[in-house]
Amino acid sequence: MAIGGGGEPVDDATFYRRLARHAGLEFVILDEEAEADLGFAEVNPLAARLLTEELCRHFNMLPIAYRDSVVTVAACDPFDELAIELATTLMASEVELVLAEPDDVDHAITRTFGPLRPPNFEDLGPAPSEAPRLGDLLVAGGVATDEQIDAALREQRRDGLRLGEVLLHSGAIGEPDLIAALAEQLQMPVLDLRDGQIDADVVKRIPEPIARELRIAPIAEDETTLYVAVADVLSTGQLEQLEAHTDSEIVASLAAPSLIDEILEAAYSGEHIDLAINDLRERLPESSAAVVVTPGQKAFLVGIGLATAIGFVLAPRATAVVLVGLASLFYLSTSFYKFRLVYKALGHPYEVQTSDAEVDALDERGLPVYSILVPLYKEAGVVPALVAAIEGLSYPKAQLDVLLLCEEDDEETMHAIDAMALPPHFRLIVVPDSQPKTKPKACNYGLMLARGEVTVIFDAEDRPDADQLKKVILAFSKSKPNVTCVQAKLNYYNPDQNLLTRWFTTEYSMWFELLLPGLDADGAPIPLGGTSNHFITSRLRELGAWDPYNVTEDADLGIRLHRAGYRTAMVDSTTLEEANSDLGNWIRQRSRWIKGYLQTYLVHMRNPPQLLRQSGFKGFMSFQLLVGGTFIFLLNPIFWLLTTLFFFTHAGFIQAMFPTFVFYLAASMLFVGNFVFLYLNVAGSIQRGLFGLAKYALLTPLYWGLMSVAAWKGAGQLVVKPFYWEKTEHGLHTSGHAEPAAPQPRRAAAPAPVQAEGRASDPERTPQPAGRS
Amino acid sequence: MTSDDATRPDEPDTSFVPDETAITPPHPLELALRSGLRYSALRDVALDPRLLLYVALELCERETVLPISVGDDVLEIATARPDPDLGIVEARFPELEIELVLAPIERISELQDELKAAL
Repeated sequence: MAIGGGGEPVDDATFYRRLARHAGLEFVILDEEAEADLGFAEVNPLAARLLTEELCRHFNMLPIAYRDSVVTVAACDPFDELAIELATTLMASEVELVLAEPDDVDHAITRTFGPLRPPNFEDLGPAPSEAPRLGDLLVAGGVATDEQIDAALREQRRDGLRLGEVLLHSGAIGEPDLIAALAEQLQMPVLDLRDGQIDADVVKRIPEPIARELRIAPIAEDETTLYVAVADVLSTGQLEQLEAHTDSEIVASLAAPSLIDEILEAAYSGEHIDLAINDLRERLPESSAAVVVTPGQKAFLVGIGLATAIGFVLAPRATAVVLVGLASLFYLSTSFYKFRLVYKALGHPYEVQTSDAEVDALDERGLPVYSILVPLYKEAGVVPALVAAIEGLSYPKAQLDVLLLCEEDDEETMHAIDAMALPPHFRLIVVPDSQPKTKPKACNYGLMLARGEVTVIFDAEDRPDADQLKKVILAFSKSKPNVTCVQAKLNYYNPDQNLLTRWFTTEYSMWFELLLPGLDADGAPIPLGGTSNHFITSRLRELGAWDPYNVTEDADLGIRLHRAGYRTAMVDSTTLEEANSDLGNWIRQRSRWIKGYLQTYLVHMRNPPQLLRQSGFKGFMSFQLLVGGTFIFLLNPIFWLLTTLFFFTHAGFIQAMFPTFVFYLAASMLFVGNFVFLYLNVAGSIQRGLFGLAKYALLTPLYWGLMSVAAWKGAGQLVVKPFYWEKTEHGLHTSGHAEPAAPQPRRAAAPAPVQAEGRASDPERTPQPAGRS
Repeated sequence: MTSDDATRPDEPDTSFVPDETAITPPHPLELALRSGLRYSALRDVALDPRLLLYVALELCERETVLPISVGDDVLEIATARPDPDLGIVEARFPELEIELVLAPIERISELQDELKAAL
């Protein structure tokens, strides 16, 4: 036998017929003129369009028949795995391969799609005038009614969004319906890869920010081409940029936006969780609470401890007198400072005023995308009410980007969300299981996926005012350029549930009605509340977002924001929350808040001169007396014990600790300090219009006792479990109490649970605004 | 280092490592004779790119082989060594007999380049 066959190569027909036999495949003839020949296969024109012309020409293959969910594809290469995989994926069907001659396939492609044209991406889709209208397609397909299309068109004229988006976000149609209609309109193949495995390296061929901006995800590649899932048609300019960046031809297929998000999230989740945990710690280590006490602080604290111990050995009385004197001075300073804040707050218009007329006049076509982060953990029961509250917000739904952040091990909440089949502006984000398992880490993770120009955090049990987002947009537009955060007011829907919720409410009233305005008037840093704070997203990212190691990351962020030269404004809009009504639950929540304040104090006092320089003298002193004032709750039991002991025993050593000048200082502290704090609680309730709660404010000394219990628990945890997140249970108000009110219509009175007596309640946030409650 | 401290008595002496590049590989004809395979200098081979559908170019380059003809039941493949890994070809074409022909490595590479240029 001669080497190489010894002659001319055989013709194509023979060669490919033989190749098919060797590969165990059927050989077909596609030439219409050979209809009578054995092996002739008629091309089904509908099946032929299951793949794009570009794909067919690139791989020289053509779907020719479709039967029982199996697509028969004629090709020339029996083992082109990429082509077979793409065909299977893009058509979401099983593929049966048959072989044909290359010229035969090529001619069949031309008969199907027309002669080969020079590449011009503008010509990829049909001309707009020729394309069927989306509304017509949806009606013809029985997916939507004429009435729904008319209503959506009216909505479209108002908010300027696309018809498909309006229909989708209103719940009139589902995502698969819209994609199918778009595919028909744009003559593009649809991609369904929900169960497919996509190589993360391929997904990363296009940088994540660009992929998220364009809502696209690379899914496969070969030597020359990158296959990309797109949520919408790419413009010629976008295609050119992508091709220049990837040095590949881009072939696009339509896919559901949620699928694209899933692909991107799967590819980047490892990097995201790493950033969520470590970004602040690595980028701004001096601002991270990952290290509880720095070596310098440790040396300082040990030095103070040693000096005190030596003092007690060498001169116990003098040492005790100095300590009591310093503590009394600190108490008095705190009292006077709070009194000063109240004085400054009087008549100070601290809210950015927004009227209903202004809200009405807002052009919805210009509203930015708004991201809402909702961290959830074992809160399946509150999901329906949460969704109802967010759906009640007056904001174009297609401009909402709601991220429901669930921990990986919280299957119950994830199932509850899945079961609700939420509209596409809701996204379930699974936060990979990792330590520390805290709300700020979940929020950081969500922030990386957020698409909004503005981002807000709501807690699971929150019921925000219906117009809140629009009011915040107005507030930003009216505020100075350095305003980076707008804090909405907080309120309770269950203030009269029991004595604890009444105390809680008076405390919030004092904080929001008197102290926050005072801080604002003073230009001092404002520790943020854990919910309903609205940020300019880019600045929040620039600041390193929330500290995942700080259990009051909100308060810490407020201080960091101020130190960076940014400011916080308040807006006249309310979010209803649940006041903690269970004592054990309350102690856990409060111990976390106090632990977080101690963390925050230690972080920002790592470099006091820098804090002084960045915050100014007033800001620095405010930080010492307000955040540092947390230590008072630790000191209180000691002084109560001394007072009680002296009352019953008249012990001489106690008397010796209070020489005349210290005694007068301590007496001032006792009378002035207690008066100031009682007055603030009463005044806060009255200022808020909660006259019925004023009498309960008089009982707050008992509440302080509880605060000290929580403070010592928090301080102990700071030593042994600094990053442990004491989870607060929600939904306790439902046992024997009214359900929370739905979001209030804009022109209704301010959210106002009915009080037993006096005016409607409107309590606010706590002195230790907390995180994941 | 001396040979004394380089090895223990029960270990083989590895201190001498031959320079492999200094060894002349056996001529393919010699290999053919030893292995019982046919030999060809591939002087008059008619290249047919379609044969790469049987043996992909990547595999040709990796195993230094080249499909040179296909008949009804036999696929003829030129190879630079008698034992190329053609398992994937055998798996894809189980009914096809593969006949190896030993050929000079330089000529196989040259023809591979010509094929690549023709693609």
